[in-house]
Amino acid sequence: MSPLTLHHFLGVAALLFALGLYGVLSRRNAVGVLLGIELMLNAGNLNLVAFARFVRPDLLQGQVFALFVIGLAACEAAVGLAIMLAVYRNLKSVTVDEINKLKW
Amino acid sequence: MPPEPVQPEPVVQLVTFYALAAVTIVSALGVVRLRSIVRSAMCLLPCFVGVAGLYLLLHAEFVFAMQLLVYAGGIMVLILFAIMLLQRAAGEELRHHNERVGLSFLVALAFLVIFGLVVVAGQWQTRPELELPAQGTIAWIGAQFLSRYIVPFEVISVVLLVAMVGAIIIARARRHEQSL
Repeated sequence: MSPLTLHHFLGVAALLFALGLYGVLSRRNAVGVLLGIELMLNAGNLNLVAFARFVRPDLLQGQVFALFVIGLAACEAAVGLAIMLAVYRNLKSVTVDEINKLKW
Repeated sequence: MPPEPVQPEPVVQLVTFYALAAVTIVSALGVVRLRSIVRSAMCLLPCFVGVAGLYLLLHAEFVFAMQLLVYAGGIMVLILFAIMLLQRAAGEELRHHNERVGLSFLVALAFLVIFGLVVVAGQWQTRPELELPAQGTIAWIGAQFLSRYIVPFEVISVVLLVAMVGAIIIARARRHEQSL
């Protein structure tokens, strides 16, 4: 029997998610914010796969779900970085503090 | 019938787990704390590889492969290209963190405490008596994608196409701006 339990993986995922949250909140650069979001997505995926292994290893729904999340994360990164390029072209900055055109 | 999977020694599993967890967490710390955005992005690579190793420990072989291909391959290259194109904006910046670093830390810490309490106190109904699918996880997931999850599977291919076209349209310079 494996010595690893669900708690091990949930603990790592919680740490990873908290670090990602910290990165999203504290970065000034929009690319840095995106890196934080990637960390949080990875933490969520790790939880899904851990639950798939320990709760329903015969069905593995969590793994299927994690694969969909990976696909959507790829979309999110592509569109997010494209938006950053467009913002940079228009405002000459990707610093989130300075992008306040919608804030009147 | 695939051969019986080899189960490593419990100590080996624990040591592997803690090594992978340490790599993941330390490099994630680098991602959020390093000053240079390029170094931050490069720290993302060991973080993704560490998470991929944890997937392997969880018998998620296909998710492991996709994590390496999509995250460590595709998304990393995409981020590095974006940093290259945004270099003037991302490169020489005086402050890399905003004035709310302390508050951000408190929010993240509060979240960590809450999540930790949930993990420790929760009644998790694990089912260790259930076995992994007999034909192997990759064959099982492939069959699931083409039977039970056929509609989401088709929908996400459309989503990927739309995101690709959308990203090109958003990032493309408009004609009168191309001289810039």
